[in-house]
Amino acid sequence: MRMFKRLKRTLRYSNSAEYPRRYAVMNAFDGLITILGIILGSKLLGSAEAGQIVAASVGALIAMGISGASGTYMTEMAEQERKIKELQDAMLTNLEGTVLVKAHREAAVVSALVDSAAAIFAGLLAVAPYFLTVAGYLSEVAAFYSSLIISLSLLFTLGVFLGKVAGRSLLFSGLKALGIGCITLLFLLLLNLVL
Amino acid sequence: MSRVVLDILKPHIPSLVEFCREISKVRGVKKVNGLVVEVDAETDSIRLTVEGKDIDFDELQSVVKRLGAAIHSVDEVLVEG
Repeated sequence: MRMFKRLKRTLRYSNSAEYPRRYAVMNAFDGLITILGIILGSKLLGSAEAGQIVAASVGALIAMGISGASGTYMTEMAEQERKIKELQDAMLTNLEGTVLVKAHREAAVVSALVDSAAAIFAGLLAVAPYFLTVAGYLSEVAAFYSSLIISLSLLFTLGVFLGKVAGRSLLFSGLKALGIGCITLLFLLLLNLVL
Repeated sequence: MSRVVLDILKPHIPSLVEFCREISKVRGVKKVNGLVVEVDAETDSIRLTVEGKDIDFDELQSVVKRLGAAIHSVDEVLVEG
């Protein structure tokens, strides 16, 4: 509770309240589409086994997590330092050591962690059925369809969330996000036909 | 010191409410009154009236600084013997 309060204060003081939300949705989207691509590509264009799909997915998610965290940290830190500099120019004083500077720097770390965690979490949810297949609880066909349903449902949910943020039609926003997953599916189906 | 009036330049964040709440935690402070005098693009000029008993002025100064604000002038002081 205390940690949550501190986090809220950090985001408020750094004027970055919407950043984690933005990064969470953006990278959860990335994670889902990547896993969807791996699963569909492995099944439609190749004949990978569950273990290979899990290995490829985990590898991709770790890479996305590291790339997301480092990229976001560097970008956000640069942005936050710029904000601090602007504030210092307005105040005509050095703000080093103040709660504001601390909050701006912490906001960059929070954004990086959220960015990384969102991709890994969403991706793991999408590939979860294949973990069950590897453990021997689920057939490969069932894992394929379960992963597909989970991925598309999560994409729809993210769309609905964005619709809520924007104050627009939840259904339309959800369908728009779902459409992106369907485009990925369509591309791979076409590629399958061509090859 | 039982009363001090300060002219302060602060960023918009923390808000005046949060700013005054933090000042009220300073040793000896019983009452804080913040008044916005001027609002600029990035900053607020405020007139802060702090009342109490044996107000720790050093701590008051350091809290103001920690909150990212700067004391422009000390406009009024009341010390009771």
